[in-house]
Amino acid sequence: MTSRGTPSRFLRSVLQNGVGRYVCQLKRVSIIFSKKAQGSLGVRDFIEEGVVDFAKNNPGTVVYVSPQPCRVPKIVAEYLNGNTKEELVTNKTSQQVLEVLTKLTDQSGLDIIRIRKPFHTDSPSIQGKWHPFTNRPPSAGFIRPQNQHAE
Amino acid sequence: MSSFSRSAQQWATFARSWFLIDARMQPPGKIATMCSVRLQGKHKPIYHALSDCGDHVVVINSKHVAFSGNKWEQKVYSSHTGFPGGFKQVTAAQLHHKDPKAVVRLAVYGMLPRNLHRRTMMQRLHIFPEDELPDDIRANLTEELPQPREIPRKLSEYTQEEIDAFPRLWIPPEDYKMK
Amino acid sequence: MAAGYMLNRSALTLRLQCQLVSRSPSLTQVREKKRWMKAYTHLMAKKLKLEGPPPPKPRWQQPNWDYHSEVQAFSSRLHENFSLELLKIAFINPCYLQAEQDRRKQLGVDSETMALALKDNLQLSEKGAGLTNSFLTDWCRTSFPNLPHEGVECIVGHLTSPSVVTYVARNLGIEDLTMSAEFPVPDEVLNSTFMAVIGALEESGGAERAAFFLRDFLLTQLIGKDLFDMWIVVNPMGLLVEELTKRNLPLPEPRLIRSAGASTVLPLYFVGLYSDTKLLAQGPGETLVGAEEEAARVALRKLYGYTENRRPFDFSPQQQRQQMLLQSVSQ
Repeated sequence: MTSRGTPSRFLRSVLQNGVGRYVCQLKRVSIIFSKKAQGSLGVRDFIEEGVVDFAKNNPGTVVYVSPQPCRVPKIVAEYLNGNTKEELVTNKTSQQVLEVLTKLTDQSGLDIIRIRKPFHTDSPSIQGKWHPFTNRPPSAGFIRPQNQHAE
Repeated sequence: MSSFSRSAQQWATFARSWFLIDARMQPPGKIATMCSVRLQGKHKPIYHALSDCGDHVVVINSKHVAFSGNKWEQKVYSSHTGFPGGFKQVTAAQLHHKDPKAVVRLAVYGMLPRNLHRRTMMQRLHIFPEDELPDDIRANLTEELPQPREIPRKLSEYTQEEIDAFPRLWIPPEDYKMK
Repeated sequence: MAAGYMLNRSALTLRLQCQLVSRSPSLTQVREKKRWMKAYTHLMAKKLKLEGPPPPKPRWQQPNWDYHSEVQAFSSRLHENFSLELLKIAFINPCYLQAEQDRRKQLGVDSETMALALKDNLQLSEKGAGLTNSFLTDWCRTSFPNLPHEGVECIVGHLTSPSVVTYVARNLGIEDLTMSAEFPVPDEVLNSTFMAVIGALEESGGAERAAFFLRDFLLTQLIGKDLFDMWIVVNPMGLLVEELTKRNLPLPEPRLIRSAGASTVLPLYFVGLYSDTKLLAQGPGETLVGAEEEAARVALRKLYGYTENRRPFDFSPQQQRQQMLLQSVSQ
């Protein structure tokens, strides 16, 4: 669809994130995978090797590991602004699963839709925004013709 | 500096100004470029073709506009009435005699971009053949623009002291015959 | 015939035994198009249309929830060392305790044998609210020394208003952890929970840490806001006259500086306020009256130091600040 038909938003951060302190926006990650299926092989390897390190590196994120009978292994990420993101990790290797998790950690929870402008500022001008009378010296006297003297 | 409220700042930035140009003894082409720049809004840093940011321009003394060279006799304005045999060609002098505003108006019309905004911009151009202006337009004016061409003074406008003070190039001998 | 009957019976029992014994899904699963599926989906769609969508469920009732780890993660996510018991107390609201007691009475649990060993967050909430108000007022007074009493009160009132505090609380993940009677959590409950969290932070880490927390999460909501968005002033000209008389300056005199399109429907006027031939401020407007009011507002902003080009607030992290302090002390 065109950009007019799809939703769009402006560039912003949740709660002015970097200004005061940086808060990692990912609050909880649930890894749903199957114990025996062939598509969850990479996820199972990741859980053997890498998930504990990941959880230690991100103390602000709770990692839930839930083996269930399911066809398709998923990673469900919940963010501080309430949004949920589901990533399917079927047939991914352990390294790829780690990459997916780092990507989810770095995202803020805002929707991944078209961003109208790649910049945003709350203080767009210090010297004052332009209006027709900036840099216009005041006219000395009246604007001609003041009297009908030269006709 | 200028920490206005948001609505007031926006109102100020996008307000339309009214410019005054005196066309006495000026070439209509130079007048027309100045007009077209300001009618499109290209003199503003906030210009965008879609944002309708043009200003109003008032041209006075268009009857006293001055073509350079022999354009009064040589420049031809053509038009066609639409009927067969209706191709009319008029010299600039004839057109100016019939309608003293037409020369400036057609010059500006030809310099504006050829799109649907052109007619709106022409509506914002106000031409007056003489010095007289209606009161409401005079109340609207914000600025007078300087004339593009410096009007040369006639010999009769120089004082005798200035004429005497002008350096003589050479002094002719007494029996020199001046034509 | 008897042999056939016996054969059938044995076949029947064999099949029954097969069904009982075989637990692997491949032998009992029916993979064809299920005949009941269409009717079922239609019924459920009709039910949804009648009753509307199901009410939202709180996060602790959805799968994958561990309260203790969530509270720990909350504390480390904000880079703070909360004491976890205080933090858990901070999340418990009185309405939740009431609802719990009623539920236990309904279930018939004796309140003497199984007492509800949970404490309220009312005390912490009051402490937090008091600390917030005092910190914000002090910060406003230091950053804007010329701002009068009502202005400071209005700014602090806006920052501690339910709308701003609940917005901040919802985006920090406090809503998931609050224990309250109703869901979705009402604004007042969320407000008091946030204040209780501040109180818990003050008790665990000290007033300074709580101050930095408030600075980083509440004061950032001031970015991009104008003074008169928060402080509604009906007569700015009167207020300006008062301010100038307080400072013993001559009274303001309005003069028309610029005008554009005066007789059109879209005029622009610039009015300047002069106190004894010195320009205080100028402001634009649609009408002369509007421009004069705007000029008075600009003059007030300049007097109180809340202009667009003021020095931005200091949000530098704590360690940098301490280093800078040490450097300035050593010099």
